[in-house]
Amino acid sequence: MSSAQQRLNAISPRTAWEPFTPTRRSRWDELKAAHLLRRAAFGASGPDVARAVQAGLEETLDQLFAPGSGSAAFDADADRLEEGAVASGDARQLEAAWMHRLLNSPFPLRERLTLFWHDHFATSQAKVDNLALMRDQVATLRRDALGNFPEMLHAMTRDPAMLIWLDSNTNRKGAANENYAREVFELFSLGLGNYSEQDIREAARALTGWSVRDARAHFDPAQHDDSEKTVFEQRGRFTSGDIVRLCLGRPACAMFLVRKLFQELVSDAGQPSEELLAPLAEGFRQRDFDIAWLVRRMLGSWLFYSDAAIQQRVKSPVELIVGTVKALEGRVGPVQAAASSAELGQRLYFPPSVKGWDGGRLWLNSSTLMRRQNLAFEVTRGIGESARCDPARLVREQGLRTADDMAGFFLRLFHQTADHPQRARIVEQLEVEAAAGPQHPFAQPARTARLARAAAHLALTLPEYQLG
Amino acid sequence: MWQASRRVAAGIALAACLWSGTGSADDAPRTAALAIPAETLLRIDASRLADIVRVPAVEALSDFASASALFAPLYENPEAFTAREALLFLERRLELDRDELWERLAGGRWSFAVLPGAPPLGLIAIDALDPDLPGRILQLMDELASRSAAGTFETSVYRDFDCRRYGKLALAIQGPRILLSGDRQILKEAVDRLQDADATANAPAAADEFEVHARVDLARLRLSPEVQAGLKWPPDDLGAIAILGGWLDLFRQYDRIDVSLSQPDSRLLLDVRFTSPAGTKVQPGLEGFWAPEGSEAPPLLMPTGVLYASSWHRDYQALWEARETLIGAERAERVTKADADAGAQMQVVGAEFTPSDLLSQLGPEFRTVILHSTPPYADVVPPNRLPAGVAVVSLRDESRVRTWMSPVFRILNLILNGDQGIISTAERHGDAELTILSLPTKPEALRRGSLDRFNFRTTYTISRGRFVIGTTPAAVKAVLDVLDAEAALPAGGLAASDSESPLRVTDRQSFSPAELARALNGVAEALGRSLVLVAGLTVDEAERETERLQTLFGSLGRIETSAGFGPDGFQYRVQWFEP
Repeated sequence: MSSAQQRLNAISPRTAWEPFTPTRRSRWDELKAAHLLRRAAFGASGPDVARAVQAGLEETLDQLFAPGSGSAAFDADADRLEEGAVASGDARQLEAAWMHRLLNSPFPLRERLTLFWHDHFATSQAKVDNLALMRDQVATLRRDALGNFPEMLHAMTRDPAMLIWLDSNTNRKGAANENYAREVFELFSLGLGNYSEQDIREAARALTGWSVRDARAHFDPAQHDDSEKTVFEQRGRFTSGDIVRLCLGRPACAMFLVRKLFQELVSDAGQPSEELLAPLAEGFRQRDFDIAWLVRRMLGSWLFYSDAAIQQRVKSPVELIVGTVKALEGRVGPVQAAASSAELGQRLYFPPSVKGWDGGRLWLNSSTLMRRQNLAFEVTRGIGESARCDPARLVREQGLRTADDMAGFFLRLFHQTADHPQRARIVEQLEVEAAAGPQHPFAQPARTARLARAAAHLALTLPEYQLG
Repeated sequence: MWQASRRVAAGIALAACLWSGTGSADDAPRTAALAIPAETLLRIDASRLADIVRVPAVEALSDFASASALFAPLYENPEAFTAREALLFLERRLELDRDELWERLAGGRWSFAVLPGAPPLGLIAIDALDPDLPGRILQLMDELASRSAAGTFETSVYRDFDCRRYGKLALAIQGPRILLSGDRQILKEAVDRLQDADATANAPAAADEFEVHARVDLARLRLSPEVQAGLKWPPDDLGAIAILGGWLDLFRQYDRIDVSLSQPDSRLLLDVRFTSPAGTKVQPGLEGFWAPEGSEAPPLLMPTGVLYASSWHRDYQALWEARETLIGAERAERVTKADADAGAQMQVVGAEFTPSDLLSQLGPEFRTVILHSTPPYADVVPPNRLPAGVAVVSLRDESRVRTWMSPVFRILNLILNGDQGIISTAERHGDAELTILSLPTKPEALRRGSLDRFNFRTTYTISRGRFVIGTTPAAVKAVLDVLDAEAALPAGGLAASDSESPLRVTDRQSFSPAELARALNGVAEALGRSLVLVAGLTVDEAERETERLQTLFGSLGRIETSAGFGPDGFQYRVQWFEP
């Protein structure tokens, strides 16, 4: 049994989800604040972490769950960028427009959850081949990201991009296509083993009649099988709305969704037991699948701030890139950021299959690991596309001069501890770097800059940085 | 002798200008430029370099760069701090602000030379405006050298010059004169030349306005094996002959390139002249590439709203007939065979000509224009409004070309319609029959690809002895109207050559940054999106940057170029007119 699983097993279900309250032994500190901001907002700068520590957990959660200042204006601008991207016909522009939101939104938790739901209701532009429809689908997910899951599921059953993706377009009376019914049960609401093949066949009939016309979902009663069906041992002249209702009524639904969100927000290093998740699933169901309630419960819990959760997830490419840029208080071109994310295996609007991205340890292989290390170098170079993301600027603002100071600063920034075991080695390498290069009096700023970039790079390449 | 401005002649003819000093020969000021030897591969002389920042275009560019969000990272980059630290140090110690320091150092005369050798070496000679400044800077350099890691430097006095060696840099200073080189021997010889020069004769007069003059010794450069390889004739790249052949030929034929940059009035003037010593026989230029005697490039097309216009003379028939000389016998034979083969294949589509037949009919007058145009589709408005472009090619035999091209256009239209759904329609404009190729505008077609492609509705016609093709019908019609107006003018009423010299103009261009500023309004969406998504600016920064770009372009005036042959050689001129 892995140590991660052992830690998870040691957690008591009775107390796991109780609100975390700081104690002398378990303070609300930089480590926990950074952990929260990583999971909820992809990451944060040093000042953001300091503010979160100062404000306390509850106030920080309040801020995360509310649109930040300027949200409406930002959303309006972002919508316009997406409109232009759609008109350009270039998928990379649309990917970049979303990356712009991920990097800059004043409501990062909503973007975090939007990305999760995009993975959950995985739909790929590769088959849909319609940028406007893909944009609209993600906009729907964003609208409901922290809202009500039943509304979201209803919306997705009639989403034009989804209809095309899962061949609902060809799901006709007398020739039912089971694709969508299967995925609604298996991937969107219940999980494997919680339905039968008969349920799928019957549900497919209930979902007939929908197609896409003029970029809109269109229901044709003539193509809909309106005869009686039996799903989950219930009989009726079910329609798509009924199928959604029936899914939501299954006990497995809440548990399935809670488990997925647990893996997304808490830990993907071990398998939580049903007993551990049961309180959350019950609360989720009682509150009519209120996503915001569930997410807040998770992010405010004892378990979330235990060693069963901290650094127990592999960062996805988006988390890695956005988190690094935020930590450096920098800016990068979203086109390049989106391209880098794609190179690392997470191309926005292009999940690899209906199952979405596998995630977890599968983000890492020999190729992507090398690419992640190269990315650390590229983002800290301080020139070209990384010119606005220069670690040297942070060092200058902090007035740091020595290799030791810089090593400590970046270790604290990226790992929340200046007393990292690798600090001495990093300092040693930096001192070699400092001795090289021009030594004339005017070269001091350039020398300091080089050191700063090297310090940031070395801190980013420590293995634990891949964990969030 | 061609006419050149007084200032240009003063700068170029270093050995020919009269000394204008007063007092005895021994007291005469010895300008540092006398240290430059007569034989150089490249020589650049600049007067009043400090005034370059006052040139309106330079000022506008500098203002833009300093305020631009795009350029801000460059200024904030710590490597840029190194230069700033050095500058701040100088300002502090010399007790001069930046502008004053620049004026005193660069307000006089600078000369730079690359001397022949293996490898070639450089020499810089400066006459500072402030006679004490060089000495003060020398003291500071001594101080910095002492503080650097090396800590040592060499110091000596040679023929009244205070000399230093800091690593690889050798420096000699006397009063306002500064000499610099990477080679001590070069520097020593430069001091000797300066001290031994006959100051009563041939010292170039110091100009009282901003000027830069450069001379490249092509004859000497051509002695280098690398340059010879680069100027090999015929060149390996055949395409280079058709596009660059005449320009490459200039580097082969002429012995000198003289470049001068000056501001004689409200223009910034750049002249590039290819010349040879008087009496040297020079070929008239690659035959067919340039306008021959009695011919010129046609006048520029200038309908309303022109951003850019160009015209040139190119005789492809002559180039084709001289192919053996141009590309060698073996290649010429291959090309001739390929031409015949292509002709045979084209007969399948009913074309009764070879590519060389068609090429020979095109020209020799070519013109292009980029201009604002009305949206070409009534039912689709692209998010960005792009300017339209039109090309006009004169035809030797219009009716023959029309006969040849009819079947080709028919087949092309069929293919485009079948493959892309493009629709071909006809429309009359006066006596010209236009063919207009339109994109499909059904909703299914709209969702694929960029909507900006609806800026294009290719239109062409064979009329008025020309082939005219453009990206919108409105632009083509505007150009046809200009051609008609041109035809109505009395003979000789067309644009004359550059009045300052009897040039046979073979290329002309005109560019209006002010019109470009207007055009930016049309692409504001795409530009703003690029600034945000590619450059990483915020939306507000992108909007401000677009406004700054428009202000910059609006302040840049107009740029015109002309190229052609005069009695003494080839001249390329760029004129930048203030708005």
